[in-house]
Amino acid sequence: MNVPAARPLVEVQDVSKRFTPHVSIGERIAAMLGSPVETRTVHAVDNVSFAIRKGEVLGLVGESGCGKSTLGRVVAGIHPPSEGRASIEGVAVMGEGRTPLKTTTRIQMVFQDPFASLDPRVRIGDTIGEGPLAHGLVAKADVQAYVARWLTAVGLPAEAAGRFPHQFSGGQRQRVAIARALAMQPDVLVCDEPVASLDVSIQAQIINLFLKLRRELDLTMLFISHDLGVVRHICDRVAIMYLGRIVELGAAADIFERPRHPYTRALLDSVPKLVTASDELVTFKPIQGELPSPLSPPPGCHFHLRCPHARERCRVEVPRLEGDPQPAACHYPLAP
Amino acid sequence: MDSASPVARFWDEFKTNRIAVAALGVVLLIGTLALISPLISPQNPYDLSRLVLMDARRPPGYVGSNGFTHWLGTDAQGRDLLSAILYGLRISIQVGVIAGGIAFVVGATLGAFAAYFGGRIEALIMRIIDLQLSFPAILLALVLAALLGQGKWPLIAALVTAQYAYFARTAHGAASTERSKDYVDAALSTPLAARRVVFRHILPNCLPPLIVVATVQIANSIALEATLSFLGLGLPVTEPSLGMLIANGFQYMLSGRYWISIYPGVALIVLIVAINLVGDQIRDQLNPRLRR
Amino acid sequence: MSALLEVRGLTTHFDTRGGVLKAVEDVSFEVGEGEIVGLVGESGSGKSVTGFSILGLVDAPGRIVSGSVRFAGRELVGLGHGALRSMRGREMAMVFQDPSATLNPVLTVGQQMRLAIAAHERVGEAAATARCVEALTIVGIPDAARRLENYPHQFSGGMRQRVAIAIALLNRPKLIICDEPTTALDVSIQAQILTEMKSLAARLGTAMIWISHDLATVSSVASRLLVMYAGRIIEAGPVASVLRSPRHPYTRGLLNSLPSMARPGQDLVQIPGSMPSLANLPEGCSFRPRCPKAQEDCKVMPALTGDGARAFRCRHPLDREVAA
Repeated sequence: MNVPAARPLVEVQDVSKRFTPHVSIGERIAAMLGSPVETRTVHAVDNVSFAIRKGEVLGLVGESGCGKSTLGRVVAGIHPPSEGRASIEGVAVMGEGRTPLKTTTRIQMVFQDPFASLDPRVRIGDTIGEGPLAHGLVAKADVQAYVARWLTAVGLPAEAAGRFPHQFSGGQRQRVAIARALAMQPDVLVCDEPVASLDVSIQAQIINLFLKLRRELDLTMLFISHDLGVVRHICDRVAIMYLGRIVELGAAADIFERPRHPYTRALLDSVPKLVTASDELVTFKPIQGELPSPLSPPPGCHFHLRCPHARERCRVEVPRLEGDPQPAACHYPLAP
Repeated sequence: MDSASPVARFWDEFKTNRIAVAALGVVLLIGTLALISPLISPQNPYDLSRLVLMDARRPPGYVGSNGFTHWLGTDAQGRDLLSAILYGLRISIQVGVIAGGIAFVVGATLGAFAAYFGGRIEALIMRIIDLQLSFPAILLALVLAALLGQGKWPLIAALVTAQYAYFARTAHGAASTERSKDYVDAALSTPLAARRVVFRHILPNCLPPLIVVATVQIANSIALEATLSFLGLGLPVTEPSLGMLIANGFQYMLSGRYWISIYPGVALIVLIVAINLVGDQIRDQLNPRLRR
Repeated sequence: MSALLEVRGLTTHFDTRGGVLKAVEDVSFEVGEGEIVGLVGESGSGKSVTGFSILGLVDAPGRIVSGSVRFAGRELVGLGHGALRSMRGREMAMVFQDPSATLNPVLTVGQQMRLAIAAHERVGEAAATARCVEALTIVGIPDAARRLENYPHQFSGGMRQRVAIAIALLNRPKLIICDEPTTALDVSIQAQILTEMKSLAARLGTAMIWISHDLATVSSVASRLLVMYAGRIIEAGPVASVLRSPRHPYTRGLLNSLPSMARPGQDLVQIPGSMPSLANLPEGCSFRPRCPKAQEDCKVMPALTGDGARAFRCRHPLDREVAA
């Protein structure tokens, strides 16, 4: 593993992302006439900051609706943040303006569903080659060899370039998607659940591919997943998200062995484990209740409704992400 | 099972519907006949020097004064009706396809860009289109044809204006769906220019519904052109389209000389029905909800 | 004691344009009363089609080619649609991965549950409501009486799945077939439902077939495990025993593929290649092209041979001693 450099490569500073659904003309008129219109703004990401050092793999873990995918897309420059900024070596990922555009090619993204992330009507050679061509990373005459090189790098035959996505299995498509991202020669890869839709045996192949590419290309990664086993396996550090906020951040081993936030603890306890002894008693300690709606998150600590340790202060005051080296956003963190 | 291109797979499935294949054959046959009408039609109906007024309004099968058999009879000017229909089809199809094609390009581009950019641009474009769709196309085309005057290109302009909105609305709907798919996000994260994302990725994936609309709209613009020409607002008399042939024969309908109107009408109906049958099959194949 | 469900030589094929898909091939197993059997496999292994075949839910172009399904002493293969329908929901029920496959979006949950009861017996309104409330309470839905008036979209994903389970429980079936019921759910919700299903089965004596791709999930609910590959059962036995010392190389490979079986950062032991197409299976053992132990005699399909409580379909099984 690499010795992390002093200055973080990727910095995410006070990023918030809100989605406000389109307000129809009728509703706008109703609002002008004084009728109460309910606000439906979703705070998908709420004031999040973190950094990724060069060569590091940071895991971003959370349940559905916690905002991890949105945060990944902000970092990858697909969504402009509502507030704050994501930058790579101090340069913002997104440009300025009313409809800002991504300005860097140094961050690329791999998506969860390789059936959706490849244009079904484009041959995969063109899918891989078009970005590098558009950005002058390769001359038109050399693009075929260039594509072949990246296909080989992800374990696909070079002649695959002439085929369409539907002619590949899920695992092969994910390899294509990885080749497309890598062909842009990025420093950082944002991976949004890249193995979640794959079968177990194929998942292992793709995880091994990530491990290999990381060693060979010195890649920095933001690895988003709900699968704690996968995250533990390939991440150096892990950030746990709950309802738009990071609640705990630390080295992977520490997070998994000594969680400080009650939510992290509960998440770890919820994961089913392989039962290999017949007398083993399977006991879960499931978290009570459900994820509150991100439309109306509870005040104070977002987790207090489900937290076994919640006290009065948790209902009122938002806890800050504090502590070193394993900060946790909790007023009463668990003892190690 | 795993043919290389989506087109090949589409054709494999299309083949299973015999009616649609027959309809496609009819469309292609009529199209080809119309295209090569100058080569095959017995008479050049535009060549006034060849017309014999004595042979006007003769019934089908009449052998003309110059020994020439008029299989579908003759019209009021003594034109051979079969030739006139072939030439009329040529004009009608030409106008319909060109107008449909331009409306396709303009409408699809507008709709796709509206969906891609969203926000105020989208709101502006789509409100104009909604407004336009609230008027009947025939009314709009009538007004425009009257304003722009006679001739092929003014007529095409009127038809395009009356029809691009259908393409725009369909393209907007389809593109909005495509816009939210991961492959578009992947293009954004590369990043690729907006023009490239729209034309290279979004629009090709919107083609299925647009092709369905295109078949319907080409049939519609042929019918619309015929209507306008019937009303005398379409093409000039020198280039008689099917609509004008029908109009010309209309006054003789009650005097028993049915063929002057009926045969062009039959040609028009066969063409439009065939195009619609092909369109129906394409729609059935492309609509995932009807798929088994 | 005879088994509640006895499946013998079940074979289900799908006739497609690309050829015959052999989705389920010669599948035999039993489920005892109150027993939870886990059916594990990757996509395309035939595990879901097995579930559908048992319930007679295989539609054209699929068909049960041969085999027998005996439920409570009654043969189900060849039974008419009406007879099957009256049996489904009352004696056997199914829970799907996606609860919207069960729930009608335009009816309230209460209306749907009362319909589910009325489909099988005549019950008074009050009694029916009482049963609905009871079923919802059993699956852990708070304030059940009030929630009966809600529409499916007013429930969260986890709650919707609970409602689907409650509907499956309404007529107290003897067997519930659960097809990946927790796959779409978050881990915390999955943990809640797993715990509840397990205690439900124990309390009500309901037998279950738990279909899943996730070994860990299955191992935490089931007592017996069936591993499927390319339409066939390739290994069967008590959960802990199978997972501790798998005899079939595929089961071993599946276990080795799990990140939790390796040290963090280390390469996983992967199975090369991918599942063969069901329309074009390799000759002999379907796992042969990917198997590290394959030999010449694997070109003939091995039989599912027993070894006490354990059974496996392999001529060159792994030793018992190979432990995880």
